[in-house]
Amino acid sequence: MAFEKHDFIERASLIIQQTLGSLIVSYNWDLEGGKLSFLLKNGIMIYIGYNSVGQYVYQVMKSLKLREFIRFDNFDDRWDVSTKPHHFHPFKMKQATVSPMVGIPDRDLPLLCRWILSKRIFEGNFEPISEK
Amino acid sequence: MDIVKLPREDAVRLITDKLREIDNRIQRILQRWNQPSTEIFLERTRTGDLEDAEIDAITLTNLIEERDRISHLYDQL
Repeated sequence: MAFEKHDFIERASLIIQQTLGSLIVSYNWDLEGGKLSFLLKNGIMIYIGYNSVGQYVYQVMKSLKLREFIRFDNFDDRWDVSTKPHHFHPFKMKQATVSPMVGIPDRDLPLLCRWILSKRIFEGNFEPISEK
Repeated sequence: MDIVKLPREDAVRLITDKLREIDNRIQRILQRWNQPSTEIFLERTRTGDLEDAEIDAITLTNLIEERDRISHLYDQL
C-alpha cells in the first residue's frame, strides 16, 4: 500500500489548525521532508511527519531540554507492546508503552489535539479523552 | 499534471540546484547524528541504537525519495 504522505500532511495541517487555531503562533510546512511543525503560545512545539511506507511520528515538546517531550511513532520496532509497531514515549521516559495512534491523521490528530488542550499531555501515560 | 516547456539549460540548472539543496539537507542530518551514511543512520534509528532520531529519520526517508524522483527527471532531460 502506498501512503499518500502529501495528502496526510495536508490533512494534518488542516486538522491541527482547525482544532488548535488561536493557540498557534507559527507553523512550518516542509513538503520535501514530509513534516509539519507548530509553535503554540505556551511554548509547546508540535512535530508531525509521515512517509510513503506508512511510518509516522507525532512529537510534542515542552522544551528543548533532554526528554521534555512525548512522542507517538512506529519507526523503531524494538518495543514489545500490544500495539506494536505503534508505541508511545511518555514525558521524560526512555521506555515506550501502548499507543492509540495508527498513523492516519483523521484518526490520530483529533485525539492528539484533545490531549494537548486538556493540558495533561505531559503527565504520565496517554489518557483517552472523549470528544465533546 | 501541467507540463511546461523551458530551455534545457534552465531545466538542468534548476534540477541540479534542487538536488544540491536536498543533498545538503541529507548531509546536515547525518552530521547532526554523526553518522556515515543514510543506510546506517536509518538502521540504527530503527533498532533504537540511536535514540530520539525518529523525526530526522522520517525526514530523511522523504528526502531520499525526493532526491530519487528528481534524479529520475534529470535522467529524462
